[in-house]
Amino acid sequence: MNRLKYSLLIILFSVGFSQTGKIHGLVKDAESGNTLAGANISISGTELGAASDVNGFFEVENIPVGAQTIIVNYIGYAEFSQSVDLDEGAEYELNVSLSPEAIAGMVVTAFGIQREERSLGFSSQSISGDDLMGAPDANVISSLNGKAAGVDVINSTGNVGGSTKIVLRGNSSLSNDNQPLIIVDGVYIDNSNFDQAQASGWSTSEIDYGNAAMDLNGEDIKSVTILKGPNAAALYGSRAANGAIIIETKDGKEKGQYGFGIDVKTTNMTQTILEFPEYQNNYGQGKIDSEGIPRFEYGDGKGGGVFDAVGESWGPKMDDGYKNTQWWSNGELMPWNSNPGNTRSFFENGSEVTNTVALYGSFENSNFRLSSSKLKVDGITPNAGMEKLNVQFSGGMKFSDKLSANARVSQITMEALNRAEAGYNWNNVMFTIGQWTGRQIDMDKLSDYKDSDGVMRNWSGIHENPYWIQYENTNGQLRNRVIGSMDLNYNLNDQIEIQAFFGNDWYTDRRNAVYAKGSHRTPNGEYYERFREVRNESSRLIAKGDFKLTDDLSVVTNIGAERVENGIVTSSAHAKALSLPNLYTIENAAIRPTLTAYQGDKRVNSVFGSASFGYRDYLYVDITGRNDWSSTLPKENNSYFYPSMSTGLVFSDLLGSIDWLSYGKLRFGWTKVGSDTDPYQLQGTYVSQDAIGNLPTYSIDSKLYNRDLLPEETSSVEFGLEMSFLNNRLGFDLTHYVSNTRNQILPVQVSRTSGYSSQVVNIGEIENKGIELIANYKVLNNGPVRWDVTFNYTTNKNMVVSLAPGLETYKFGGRGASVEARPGEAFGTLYGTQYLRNDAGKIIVNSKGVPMRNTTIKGFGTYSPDWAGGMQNSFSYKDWRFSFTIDTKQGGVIHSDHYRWGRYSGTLIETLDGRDNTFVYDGDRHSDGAVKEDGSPNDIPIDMKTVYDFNRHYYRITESTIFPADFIKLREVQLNYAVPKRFSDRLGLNRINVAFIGRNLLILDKKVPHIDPETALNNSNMQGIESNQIPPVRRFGISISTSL
Amino acid sequence: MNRLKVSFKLITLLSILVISCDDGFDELNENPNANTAADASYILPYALEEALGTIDWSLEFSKIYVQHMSQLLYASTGQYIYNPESADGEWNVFYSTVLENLTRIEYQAIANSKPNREAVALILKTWLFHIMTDLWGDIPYSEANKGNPSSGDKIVSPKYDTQQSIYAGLINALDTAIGKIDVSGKSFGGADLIYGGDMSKWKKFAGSLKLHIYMRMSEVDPGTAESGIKSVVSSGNYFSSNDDSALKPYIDYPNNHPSNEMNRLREDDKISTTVLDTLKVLNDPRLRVYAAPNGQKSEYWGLPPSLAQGAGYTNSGVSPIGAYFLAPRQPGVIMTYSEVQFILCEAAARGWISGSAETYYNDAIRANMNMYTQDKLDAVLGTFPGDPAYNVINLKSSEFPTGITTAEIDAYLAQSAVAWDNSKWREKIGLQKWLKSYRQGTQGWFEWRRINYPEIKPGRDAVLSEVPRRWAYPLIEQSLNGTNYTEAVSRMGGDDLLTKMWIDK
Repeated sequence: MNRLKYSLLIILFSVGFSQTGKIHGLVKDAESGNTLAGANISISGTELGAASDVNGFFEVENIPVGAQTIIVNYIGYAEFSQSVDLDEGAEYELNVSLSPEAIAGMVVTAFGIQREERSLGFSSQSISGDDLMGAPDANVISSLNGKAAGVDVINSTGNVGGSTKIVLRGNSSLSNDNQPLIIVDGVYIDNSNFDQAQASGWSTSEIDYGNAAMDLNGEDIKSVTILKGPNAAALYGSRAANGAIIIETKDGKEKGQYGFGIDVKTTNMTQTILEFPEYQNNYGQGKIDSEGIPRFEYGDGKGGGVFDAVGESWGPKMDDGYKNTQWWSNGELMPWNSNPGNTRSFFENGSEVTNTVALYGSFENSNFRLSSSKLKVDGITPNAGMEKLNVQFSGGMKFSDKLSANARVSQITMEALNRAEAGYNWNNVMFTIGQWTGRQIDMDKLSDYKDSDGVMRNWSGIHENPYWIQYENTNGQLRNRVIGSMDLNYNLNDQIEIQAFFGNDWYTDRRNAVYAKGSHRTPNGEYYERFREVRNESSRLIAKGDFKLTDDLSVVTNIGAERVENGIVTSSAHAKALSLPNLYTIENAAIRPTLTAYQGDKRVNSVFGSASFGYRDYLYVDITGRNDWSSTLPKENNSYFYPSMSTGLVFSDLLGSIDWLSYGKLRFGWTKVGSDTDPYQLQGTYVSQDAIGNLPTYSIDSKLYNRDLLPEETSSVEFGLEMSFLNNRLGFDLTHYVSNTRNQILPVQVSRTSGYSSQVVNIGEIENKGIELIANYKVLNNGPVRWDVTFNYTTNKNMVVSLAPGLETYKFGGRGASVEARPGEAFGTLYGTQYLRNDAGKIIVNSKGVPMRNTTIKGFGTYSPDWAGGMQNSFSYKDWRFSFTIDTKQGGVIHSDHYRWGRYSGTLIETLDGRDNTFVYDGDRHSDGAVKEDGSPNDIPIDMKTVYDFNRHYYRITESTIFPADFIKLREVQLNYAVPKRFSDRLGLNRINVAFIGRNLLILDKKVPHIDPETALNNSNMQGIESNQIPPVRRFGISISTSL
Repeated sequence: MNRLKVSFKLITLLSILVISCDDGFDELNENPNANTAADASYILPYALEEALGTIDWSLEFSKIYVQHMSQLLYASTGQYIYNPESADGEWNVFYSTVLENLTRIEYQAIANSKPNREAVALILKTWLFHIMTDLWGDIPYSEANKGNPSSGDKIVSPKYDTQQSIYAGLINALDTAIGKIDVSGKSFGGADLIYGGDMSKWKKFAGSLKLHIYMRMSEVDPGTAESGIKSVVSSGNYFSSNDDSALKPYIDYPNNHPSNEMNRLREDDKISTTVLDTLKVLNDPRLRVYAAPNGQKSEYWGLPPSLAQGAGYTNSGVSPIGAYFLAPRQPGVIMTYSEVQFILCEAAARGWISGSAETYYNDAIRANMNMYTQDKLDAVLGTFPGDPAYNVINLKSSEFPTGITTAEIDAYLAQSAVAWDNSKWREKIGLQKWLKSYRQGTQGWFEWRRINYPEIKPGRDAVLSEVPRRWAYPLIEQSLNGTNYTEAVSRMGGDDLLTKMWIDK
């Protein structure tokens, strides 16, 4: 119905009997409406083509009948392609409007300034919204996985909306989370992950709430530009010291047509478990007593029977005719039978449904886009889900030739139920059913989790029933967020434009967590409420100038001032006991609740300027400078200046025409970036503690503060080479960088004997050195089938050059293994105890044949990969497009707590060794053969009596639980089908696309058993620790989009 | 190029504007959330709660070492398997939570001229330092808690002092504290959970603590011990009745006794046969207070020490800890009158002071048993059964022990196995001190190590041939205070559970 307004296609019938058809039309600039001369029109898979004339008119004749793809190219504009179903003798009119805001050839840089990619002296990479959302992830940051070089995305697990961590070019800071700055339409976006799970163990509440950038709606995204490293981000200031991700959202102009339109898209995905531990099904609950006999009798589940207080599976053999009292048998002897698949059966298939409607309009002096998107997720654990509603409006108005304004506002409501708990924690279902549930337990019997009096029914008097956890010990989250911005632009003259900008990212986040009365850990019930309000305001004034100094020399300048203010308000209440059951309010607290409140404000004022010189369109030099004043630093050190310089030389233009070389450019850049810290790091305070009865109490803060802090400083050098050959059929972009961060502001641990746990100081130097390579090859670009291959490869060496004098290590935390930064070693090295070995490196066993432990701690490598790579293959044939992405990380290690405790508790398949028969420990994967203490080869058989000791010792040796984190994954598969025009027309629709999509489909190779090596516990620097996260999921489904 | 000059001028102008137009900028970093000062009366209760919480929870191992308790389920401590990471917690809480808060109280009291408050902080610091040096041997003392620059020289890696010099320092500190006390002056009032602000009792506590510390030196420096005890006795400044004992009250959850909190979910520790069988043989009325009858036979059965994996014993087969010691409201024991009487008894037996050792001995036992009279048990157990969530073994009030009567005590003391015998003073005092210190912190283990009675041997599955005599340093010190740590270890001759410290030579 709006076909004419889109003016994409008009079908005309002509009389005749020719075997071919004909197409003619006009090529215009979508913004100005001016016709474009010299645009290149080609018919895919044929030699046919034409160029538009001075009036923008073109005509192509003798086109074979049937489905054909028309491609229109023009420098500085996005490629246009349209499928046409050509009938015999027919003549089509195809009027094409090309959008100048195309990503191809243009890059969005700081403050939304569009620049030609060829003019940049630093590396950046762009991903279009379509590529990003082809196979979308509920957390938009996850969707970046495998799509760019130098971008390390650590995926979350099957948790609903769990944490996804992203790091560009390695970690530079010990103290912050090293994640890049995210900017949406000029607004600095909060991506914090507060109160994140730490896997500290035994804590009542360890919920992974995920990172805040998951609120963004992928369907609104037009493009993502990744500015890696500080070079690119020099103008954003210190907050972009870890790089920047610049997101532009869609607006009304995007379609390049005047008029109204509606886009509708629906995506329906299923989640299934990607990787699950392999448990044994031969022996049930209990322990092996000191006589070597596995025993178990149920009494009361907390020690009243025989070993019935343990959750270990070292008990009697199952399916062996043996009968026993069991938790459900009311004291009667019942067959001791296995229930294979019992743990896995707790989980369900998840689903993810997204529906998006966008209405847009574009007119001569104004445009708008209004979209609404609803995401509904049902998790893989019972009673867990998430709903997110995004509504976005953007509009632009041109008041006169000189004055224009744009405004955008986006409202987000995100509501989650039962985000998973993580870590060694009683309310983590994976902890309880994965490690500490007897292998005989039948999940069906547990699912009836309480009796008519509301009392928990369970196999244990100590552990919680996993269904009780899901239905009674629930947690919730509600985030309301508004991201808004406006800019006012005034063209002083042809050369100078002044822009005033104001943006804000504001949200409130309410969380509660319920621990019902009658839970074993919380018999009196507990209730938490947490509230957080975040405000990220930025305002700036920029004057942009574009001057031609001489015929050969042009300069683009930006001068501006900016103020950024971050405010956080938090409050929390924790009732440690409840009066009435099933009433979850703070007023229902049976004893004085613990209350906290915090307000943190920070302001950074800045002035900045940049000048970009261009000489004859092949030599470019950029100079930038910025000065920040941060409120968080001592007055005498709170001002810091940082410069950058970059240059690009398009040598292919300099060399003149060379047949095989289509394009060649050299880049060099140097930057220094300063950085501040969090508020209130200069002076200590007294900390409120739990009251004793009605007596309030306070304590000193165990952190020693510092009044002499200096700003942090990162300097970076980057070289790049871009070349493409054979008419751009083959190309690569190679970057080498070195980046050093000094004077980090950090609380470093001190001996507690000083009276304090840490002191805030400037310390250390972290270095990142790496190579990024992107290569693409159009394998087939002439026939009816097109095949494109893109490779990306990244290697980064992330070293701790130095810490403070006398400081041997900085610990990020850990569970089972300690994640540390030590001078001379890689950032994030996992430390722990090791096997006792002889000089030849063979593991020494004790008199029982059990490997011995050396308590001197050792580093086992970093969690960061040595290299990562991805390969995207894309095939298209007529209306079909098929693509798949394989990616890999190699090198890097992970500690598996599930493996560690699963060995201990006897649940994992490995623990069968020595129970049915004996075995001789041969060093396993850790050495080629074990030896006895006298040096002779180990020949001591381990039997049922010692297998228990064996697994107990094994678990205490950290080295035994460290695995290479290598993996190769089939990350993404898409099959797209554009329904032929003649069908969609009949439905009155402009376009119908159907896509079959899948993400995280297969782990093609990995080295750690039972778990997915790609598993983020939180967004902190403590990575490389698997601590009973919910299993990862594969996601697949269908997506249908249409326009009217 | 003129345009560039204009640009630079513009930047300069903007800079001036940005800075001069921001009035509230400097004040923005003043922390609105908390005070930079808090009155010491809010800090003291927290420091005390943390100190006793750690002693009665984390240092539970000492009760296992001295065979008051045995482990049924997770038995590695009883087998003396030591995990080097495990001492971090106690060390951290003692130094940076308890001692630093007490140090801040001291500085605040000096600044505000409140000598009584200064004395209380100093006495508690000394009490805790004494426990710490007896746990580890050489520890940072003279340079400890000097990380905050307001303490004078800023020291973040303090040296380890020898235990001998620490002992001298402790006595000095107590003398200083006693010298500052004005018994009629104000101190902390109700924030003083131990004595409610009664400075005369703090003074007596300081004197009693001196007796305690001197007696600990009896085997290595008897000269100092003798003259020290003589001087305290002549001053008359020490506990004179159970009312003087330093006890910390507990109330209900979450301010319940650590032993209640620790056992409310799962009862890992059981009463050891070593102590239970002794109580049976001596017809000791404390048996029914220390333990409860087992679930199956309604009899008192202990659990042998140092067994791996229960060895066939089950939870219901062995006796649980007595209801009094599982109750949330049992007091935390810092130091008792009974302890002082035992010290005086020993001093008399050694001939250091005049007076009848037998009288002191009988008084000491009587004073201890009088902590478990009917009214004392009622006060603790009165509210216990009402809260099944915190009465893990579901003891009914009908199963609660009855109080110990005077007649029972008289009969007990009359038995030859109990009655005083001057020729066997070491055995008598050793045995009775060991019995009285059941579940009273670390002192049972420390005193046994000094006096070496009763005879305690490792059990069947122990990995060491002797009962541990020391707790190892925390692993974290190797990283954070490595040089001083290494020096201390080489001076002591090791960092093991069997390394002998100065007072144990």
